[in-house]
Amino acid sequence: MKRFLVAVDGSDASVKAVRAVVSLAEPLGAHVTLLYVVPPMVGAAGGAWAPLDEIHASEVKHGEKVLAEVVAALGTSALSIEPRAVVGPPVETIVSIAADEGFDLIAVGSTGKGAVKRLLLGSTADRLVHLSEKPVLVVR
Amino acid sequence: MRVTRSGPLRRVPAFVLHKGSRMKTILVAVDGSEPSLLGVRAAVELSKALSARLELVYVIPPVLLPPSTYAETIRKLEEANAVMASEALSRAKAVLASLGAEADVVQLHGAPAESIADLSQAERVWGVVIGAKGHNALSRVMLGSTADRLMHLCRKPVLIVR
Repeated sequence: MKRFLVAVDGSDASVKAVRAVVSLAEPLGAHVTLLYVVPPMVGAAGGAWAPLDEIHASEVKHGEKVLAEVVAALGTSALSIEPRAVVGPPVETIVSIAADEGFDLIAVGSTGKGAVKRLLLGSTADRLVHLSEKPVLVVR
Repeated sequence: MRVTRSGPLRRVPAFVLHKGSRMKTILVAVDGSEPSLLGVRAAVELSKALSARLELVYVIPPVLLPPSTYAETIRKLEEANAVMASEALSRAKAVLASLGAEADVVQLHGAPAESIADLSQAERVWGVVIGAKGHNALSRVMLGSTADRLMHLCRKPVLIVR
C-alpha cells in the first residue's frame, strides 16, 4: 500500500481517520492525499445572493483552510501529504478519484459534519463503503 | 422456533492468551470466502505498518431450527459448521504462510457482526479487517450483510476489503 486517500470534512471522526492513516503511512513510506469535497449547491441558480461559482470558490477556500489546519495539527514533516479541495457530489467524487488515480485505500470518518448525532454511521461513509471498489477504512 | 447454540456457550477468552502483551492486535474476520482472504493479505500489510499481531476470527452462527427437528440433524449441522470453520481457517493460514506471517485464532459462537464488534472492544484491538462480501452474500450485492452490520456496530476502525 503506497497511496492513501482520506476524505476530510473537519469533523472529529475525519481527523481521527487522518491520524489512523498517518500512523499506517509513516512506517510504509506511503503518500497521503487529504480530500475535502464541496457538495455542489443546487436551487440557488436564480442568483439570489451570489453566483454559484463564487459560492463554490469560497467553499473550496474554506476547505483548503480546514485541510491546512488538519495538516498543521499533525505536526509531522517526514510524511508526504497533499491537501486537495474540490467541488462535486462527495461519495462519487471520492470513489472516482480513488479509482482514477490508483489509490490503495480510502479512509473516512464514520460520522461527518452532516450526520445526525444518533447515527452510528454517516451517510457518506455508508454509501462510500457500498460504492467503492477500493478497500475502505471507516474510523469512529 | 428454538435456538440451538452450536458448540460451547462460553466464548473463548482470547485475552487470556496474551495477558500482559502490550502489542496492538488486528482482528481479521475470516469465513473462507475470496474477499476474506484478500482481507488477510491487507491485514498482514497493516500489521507490519503498526507492528501489530493478528488474530483470525471465525464466528460460527447459531443453528436455527424448528423444535421438531431431530437431534441427529442438529448434530450433523453442527459437525458441518465445524468442518467449514476449520476449512476457512486453514485457507486463511495458507495465505498467512505464503506471506511469512502468523496469527492466533479465535472461534466465537453467535451472530457474526455482533460477536466481532464485541471482541473488538478489547483494549488490545486496534481495528478489524473484513471482506466486503462473505459466503452468504448474493452475487449482485456490493456489500455483504456482515461487513455492513459490523461497520455500523464497531467502535474501532474497520477496514472493508474487496
